[in-house]
Amino acid sequence: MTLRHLRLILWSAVGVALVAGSVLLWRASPGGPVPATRPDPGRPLAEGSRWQLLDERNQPFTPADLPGRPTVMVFGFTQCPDVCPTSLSYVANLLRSLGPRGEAIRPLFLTVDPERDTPAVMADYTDLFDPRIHGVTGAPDQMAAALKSLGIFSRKVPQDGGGYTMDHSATILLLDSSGRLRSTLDIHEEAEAAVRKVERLLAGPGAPG
Amino acid sequence: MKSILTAGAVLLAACALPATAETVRAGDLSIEQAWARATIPSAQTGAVYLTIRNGGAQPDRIVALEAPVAGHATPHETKQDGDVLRMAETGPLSIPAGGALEMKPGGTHIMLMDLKGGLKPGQSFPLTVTFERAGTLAVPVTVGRAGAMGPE
Ligand SMILES: [Cu+2]
Repeated sequence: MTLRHLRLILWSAVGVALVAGSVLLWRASPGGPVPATRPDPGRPLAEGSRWQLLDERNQPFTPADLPGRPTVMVFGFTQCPDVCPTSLSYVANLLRSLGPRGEAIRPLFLTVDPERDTPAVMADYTDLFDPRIHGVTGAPDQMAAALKSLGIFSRKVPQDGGGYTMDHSATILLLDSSGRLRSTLDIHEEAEAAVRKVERLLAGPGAPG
Repeated sequence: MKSILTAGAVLLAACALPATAETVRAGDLSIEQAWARATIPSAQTGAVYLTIRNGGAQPDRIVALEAPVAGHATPHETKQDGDVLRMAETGPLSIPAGGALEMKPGGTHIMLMDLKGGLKPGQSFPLTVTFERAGTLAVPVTVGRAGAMGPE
């Protein structure tokens, strides 16, 4: 390989990373506040961010906990009775389709409504769908910092007659065991396509795709 | 012979019924497949889905909703705007003449707010629907699993 070829390959890689980064950013923030951190597909997600959340068993969850296992991250809130149960049911079906292979996956449900979603509420709620799905919440400022570093949009919307609901990103993030964002899922994708994406995560960080 | 015919008629009638829940009729309207999803006991919100068919020549619309399990019941809609999911109250839901209003997850639903003790799988409750033309009727709603995607 000549130096010219190598340079061409490297610049192409930079181009792909830039396009992928801006697509993710654009998808995460239509009309809303722009996340301060652009997730860079070449780096572990939330690398260098500082936040501390709590999982449903009251254990700390920080950026250092993202690597380790292939992770499926769903975002929503427990007082969302229409679309969040659909997303969690989609992930529960995905785990079932994977059978024993699914055991290596860490499915997480991160709340965009930490004010109302305590660790205990998150535990009860996620267990309705699959006991393997773990809830993650935290102090509102910590949750906001985490969502920002993950490229997830959320906004509180007051409702008539008091109370509020949350607008939020629909994207499901797929992280490999090195904590890098490998792919995303949309609940409208066919189950077989979702299984193939997760199988690529299970193949490990070095595997293509 | 007569008993065979009778048995046949009963079988046909049974086939004509939807597989789930009962169909409730009021005037030109028929309401099918009213179902809800189970929630955690402390849940404040829930969602009900149903299908309303209008066999008449006049449109109708829902003017009021009420359920004993909740403080309020309101028509809601979820919309996906780019990557962002938004759920909001809609105006009165209408059922076109000769058409249907179909509710399903990710779209139009009846939002239950201020739930009193959540919803359990297998439970059922009446949803009182008042139509502008067809009047008021009680629709039995069956609660399915939390992850149900349709009536079970
Ligand atoms: Cu709603």
